[in-house]
Amino acid sequence: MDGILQVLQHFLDIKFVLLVFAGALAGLFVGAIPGLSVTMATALLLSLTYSWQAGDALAAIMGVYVVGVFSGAISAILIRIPGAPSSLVTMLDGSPMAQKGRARQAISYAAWYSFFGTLFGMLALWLLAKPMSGLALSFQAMDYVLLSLFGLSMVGGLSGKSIKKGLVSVCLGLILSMVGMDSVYGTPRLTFGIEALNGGIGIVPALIGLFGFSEILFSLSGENSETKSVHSGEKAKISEIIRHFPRSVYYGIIGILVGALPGAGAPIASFLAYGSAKRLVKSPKIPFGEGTAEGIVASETANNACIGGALIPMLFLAVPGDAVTAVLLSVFRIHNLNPGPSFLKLHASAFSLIIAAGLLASVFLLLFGLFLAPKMARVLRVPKRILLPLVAILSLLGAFSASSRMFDVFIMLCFGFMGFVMRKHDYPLAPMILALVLGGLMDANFRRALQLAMASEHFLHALFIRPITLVLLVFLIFSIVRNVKSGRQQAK
Amino acid sequence: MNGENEKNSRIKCKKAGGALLFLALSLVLAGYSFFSHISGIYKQWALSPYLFPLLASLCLFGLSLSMLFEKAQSKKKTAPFLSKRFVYVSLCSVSYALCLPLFGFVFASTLYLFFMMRSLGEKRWLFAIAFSLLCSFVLYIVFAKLFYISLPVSELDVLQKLADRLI
Repeated sequence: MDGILQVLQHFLDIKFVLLVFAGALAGLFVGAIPGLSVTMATALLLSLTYSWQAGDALAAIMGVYVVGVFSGAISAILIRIPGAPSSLVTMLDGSPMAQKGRARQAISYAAWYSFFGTLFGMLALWLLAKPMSGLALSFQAMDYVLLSLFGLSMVGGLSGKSIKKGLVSVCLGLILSMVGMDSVYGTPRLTFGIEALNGGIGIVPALIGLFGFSEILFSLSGENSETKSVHSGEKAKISEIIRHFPRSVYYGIIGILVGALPGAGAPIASFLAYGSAKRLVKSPKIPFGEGTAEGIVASETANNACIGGALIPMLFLAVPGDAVTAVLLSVFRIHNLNPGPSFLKLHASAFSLIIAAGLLASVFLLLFGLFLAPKMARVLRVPKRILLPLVAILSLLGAFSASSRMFDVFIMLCFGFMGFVMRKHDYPLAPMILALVLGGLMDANFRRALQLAMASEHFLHALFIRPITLVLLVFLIFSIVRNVKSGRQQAK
Repeated sequence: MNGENEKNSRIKCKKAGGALLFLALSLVLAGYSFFSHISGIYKQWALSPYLFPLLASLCLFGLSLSMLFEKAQSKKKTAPFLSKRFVYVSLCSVSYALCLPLFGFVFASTLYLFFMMRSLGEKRWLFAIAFSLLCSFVLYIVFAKLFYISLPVSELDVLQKLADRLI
């Protein structure tokens, strides 16, 4: 009861509310502009808040974090450039919805379920933080490999007409994720003497190239070269939106669990949730990938639920769950708040402030999503002769600003042309990005797991015989069997 | 009848072309990974940085082989691959990336936006010029001034000074 009152009292503090509002507004624009990431915004805010009190800094940063994760969906839906990798899955159904004149509906779904996702995450942080952090800590190298493989096994759901083509796309993504300095020996791999490749291929330039720039090329090639604008349509009805709520709890749990795993992050959560949605909803009115609302619901609930999940290991183990929580960790350190197992005892007021800021930011998210973001949908009415050059320049600028390198602009262009050719030949692009995100994590953990197992007397026992590993293995096998079955059905 | 057979075999060749490309890529990568491992200091495959690329290329090899043997079933006509606009926009974009360091962000972007708009059918010259200039400046202010992202500056002193003055 005391805890609830502590959280509620923050809502009466005008300064606190205004700071969360300012952060949320900044998050809305930063997340929606391709190339500007939430991590970048929180890092910038960190430099501004050195001299602030800890509570003020945390309030503003939580505002940016919560709304920034949602607003990546706006550009994904409207101009087919995901503001962040986690919004990619939203784009798979959001963009077709927008193209069919239902952009405002797509944004409404994204706003409502980002709101619910944030609420689930914050509630988990509030109520389940301790057992969850223990679970996250018990994940070992092989578990990360299996979790990544499980993520990749979702490729069946992202492959469209041919699973084989989806798998080719995965292989290409995995190979491309190996480019750069190896994380164990520090050896440059697959760089072919090009020094700029030592740092690897950035996810942001690849993402922008594959989806943003290739879309421009695609809309200018062949029979799709018409330059008409599209209407943004009507908002979704509340009754339609609420219909998806029961399943969103499940997607939220996926988001929280994946978010709590250090290094896993929102993109994996949204891919896993999307795969689960395809299993749960067997015969949707509109197929997945062609503009079904369930795809947006799954992705947005999971990626926003990740926020609460990622905060759990950060607050209770001092291990950041993703890049933004790593920045948040430094805010804590600057202000002498030391996260760790006794955080709740020592800094109960800071904990309640984070929960309050997260909850309040989720309310602003909903308000912005329902009243401000639909205004952005007017962008679809802009004639394509004006919109496409703008998207092109945003793509180029987004690729550059990811790490201020001209090289990344060329990487983006290469991925753009590659994405165009792949789309023309019906190779799905989403599996490639999924593999690009997961490749590094899989490689490092696979070798670490092998190394540990080889040092043990019983190789297989050391690799697989642990409860979490076995559960993940069963999930993985189940998922592969399902994919093989659906592959056979497709072949027939 | 003969014409249809010819068409089908052409489609099959196209499909096989893709599979052959992936097959070649996988073989090259597998060879690269294998020889890089052998010539490196790594004693065991388990620790080798080339283990994962080798595994991925073997998977690609298997997939491309299976695609190669798969019969082409689709007989639908594909849309024309390239259009004039496509080629023009591609060239414009590559030139823009190449010219950025020379002209700097503001001027290169203005030119790029202008040419793109014209190529996509914008007939109003004045509007195209004004819109290109406005967008470049707004983007420069948002990215460089608001978010402190260092955008490319012109190697030509005159242009850079002019851009600084204008902003």
